[in-house]
Amino acid sequence: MPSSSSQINFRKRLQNAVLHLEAVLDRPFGPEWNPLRQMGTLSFFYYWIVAASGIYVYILFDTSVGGAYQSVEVMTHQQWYLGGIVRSLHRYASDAMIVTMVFHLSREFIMDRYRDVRWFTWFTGVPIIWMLFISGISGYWLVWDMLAQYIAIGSMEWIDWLGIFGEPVANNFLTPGSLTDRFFTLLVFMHIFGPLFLLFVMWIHVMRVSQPKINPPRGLAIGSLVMFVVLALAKPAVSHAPADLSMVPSELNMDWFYMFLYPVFDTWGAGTLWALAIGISLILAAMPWMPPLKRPKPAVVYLEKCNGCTRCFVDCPFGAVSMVPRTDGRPFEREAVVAADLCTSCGICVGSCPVSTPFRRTEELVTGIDLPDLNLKRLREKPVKAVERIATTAEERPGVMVFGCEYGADTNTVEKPGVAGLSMPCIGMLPPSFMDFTLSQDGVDGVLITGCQSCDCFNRLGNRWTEERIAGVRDPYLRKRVERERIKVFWASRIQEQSLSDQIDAFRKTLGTLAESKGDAP
Amino acid sequence: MNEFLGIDPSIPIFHLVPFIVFSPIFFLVLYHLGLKEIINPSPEVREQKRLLKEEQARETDERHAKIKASGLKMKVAKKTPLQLLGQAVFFALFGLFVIYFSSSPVYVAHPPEQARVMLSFTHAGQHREECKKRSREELAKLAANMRAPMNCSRERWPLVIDLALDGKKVYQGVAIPAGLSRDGHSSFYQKFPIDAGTHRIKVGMWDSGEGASQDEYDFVLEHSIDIRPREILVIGFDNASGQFTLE
Repeated sequence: MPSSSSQINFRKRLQNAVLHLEAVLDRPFGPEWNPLRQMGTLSFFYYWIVAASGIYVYILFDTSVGGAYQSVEVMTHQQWYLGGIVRSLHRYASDAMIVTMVFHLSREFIMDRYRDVRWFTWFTGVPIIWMLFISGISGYWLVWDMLAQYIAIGSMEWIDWLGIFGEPVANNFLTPGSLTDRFFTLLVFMHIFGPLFLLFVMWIHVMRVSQPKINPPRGLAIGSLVMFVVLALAKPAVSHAPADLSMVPSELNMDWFYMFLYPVFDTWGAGTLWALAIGISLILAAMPWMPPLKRPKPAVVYLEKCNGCTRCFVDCPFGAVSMVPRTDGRPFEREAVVAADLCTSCGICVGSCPVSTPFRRTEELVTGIDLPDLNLKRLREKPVKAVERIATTAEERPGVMVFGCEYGADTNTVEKPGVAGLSMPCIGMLPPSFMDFTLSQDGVDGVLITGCQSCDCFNRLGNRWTEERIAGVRDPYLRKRVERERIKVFWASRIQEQSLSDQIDAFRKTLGTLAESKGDAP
Repeated sequence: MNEFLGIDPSIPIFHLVPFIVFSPIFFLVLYHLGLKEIINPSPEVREQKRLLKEEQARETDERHAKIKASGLKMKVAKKTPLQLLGQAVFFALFGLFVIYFSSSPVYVAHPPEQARVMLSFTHAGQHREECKKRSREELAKLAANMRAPMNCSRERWPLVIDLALDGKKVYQGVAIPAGLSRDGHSSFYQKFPIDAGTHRIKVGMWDSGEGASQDEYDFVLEHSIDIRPREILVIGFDNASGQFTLE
């Protein structure tokens, strides 16, 4: 359909834009530290900065209406070297958290990592947006300056529009004497419970993620912290004039990260803003099903080959495999079971199964856990056929077999005489024994493993597991007998096909030199 | 001040009522979304978590042992000075973005030369029907515990208000009584920008419905005011004295 294909093309263009931007930042940071791939972990880190600085600010804070402003002024000016810096850290880290959250959300949408089994993580991200705004805005109230007065009254008027209170809550801010310490204390509590609840929702957000990554690389954490301290020294966070309920707040230095909706409220009114806020939230929440992702059939366990070793259970990036007591009477304690609604059909479990070896010829090739749409038998046929393509052009040796994934650089584009490519749902699906098997075929001198860029595996952990299996530190290991010089790993995104092609050429040269040094004709 | 069950409704506990009502609903939604797996996991889920933790720990130990035995070292690519410079540029740009939008550009929420008049108060309109004395026959038809001698309707009239500045009507509004039976208070909360200076203000209100069609207000205030730029004048209503107030 034209509309869906144009939609796909539009998303692909966006994806390519993100990949290009990431490639730029790969240069100074390297793939592992690239901040664009660490927006979620940075959000967590900034939360901790805000929480820690908030505790210190709260110690110095006076929770009464009359004393709040003065206490903030004292910490900002009289104790600028500590209280002032900590207050600025509190503000700037909160602002940066909005930036990282928006980038994180946008990236997951653009890269199509929010549908199907990922719906829960996406869906629980929506209350995070609300809680982050509630936490940030309620914090600004407590300074009790003219900006606080403006946003506190605006917030209350916005809530009053719902008509759930007998008397407008905004009446608490009507005249200088109408705001009581008790009501102000309620605002303080909102700013304490809001962030606590935010943390709770953030926890739920990553709860279903197997082995979630919530801490950024140390380099990024240090860099961020240094940045915040420099900002705090260069431009300390300061207050406006003290709140005065007999005067209208006029010219305000707004924090646009949190307060961009207030001008919308002033212009369009509370009803429109409610419609926008609820409408956008509902659309965001429903996006995983607009439309739902169609994926191949989920993995299936073949009990006759499963010995309950737990490899697939540990390696599954989506927690789709669980171990239950044995049901077939065989002398093993447990067996693997796949939860179809959590399985993305990435095949990482196939790659982790020690039975997934292509060397067996005497029996039908069946493994302990397999993908119905691309089972091990068919998977073995693919490199064999690909090798035939290399063999027909034998004069072009050394021959290289390239294993890649559906989301990284396209392996078809690098095919040429002497080079064959094979793509699979995720590179983590490739059992190490397949590398050994492929190298044992005539005409193949080397195996090049590629896939999504490092730290950006579409299926989260595929390239990490593959690297560890090749290094011989993760079961199933690549056998020691396999010459490591004949295997090369190069992670390349879809826009890095030329780099992949260059790497293949360089690898072939190395293989040729290797063969010459051994005195073998390739 | 009107009271509910002897409690002043302006105290904060009343503002917690929506939280008390909506929190259980919100909690139930979260509970079914996955909270139950944290708070009250089934024995199967608990066993899966225990096993996964155990197996991951075993796998990690094995991996570390392998790394140690093979003499492999975790690759931490050292950054070149040019890379470090690039990182500094990134953080500088990010920091500039954060620092700029955290307080700029300036937003003019209210023209500095103008003042503001606010109309804000809560008042209960008159009952729509007068109390009637029940006859003996009517009382006899009622349950014993319901035999109140007077039959009073609960529904109240909405409030109708007019506001005029310098003889020109700037607002006419109606406030419906709160409650499903329309038996609660009616509230106004309106803001009007006004040029600073001297003005003649007139506010009138009907709370008895019948009078809304007549020229004579049930309550009225006419006053001259002198208002400065950005100053707020609040028009309220004192229910005890039955008079409008200016603050």
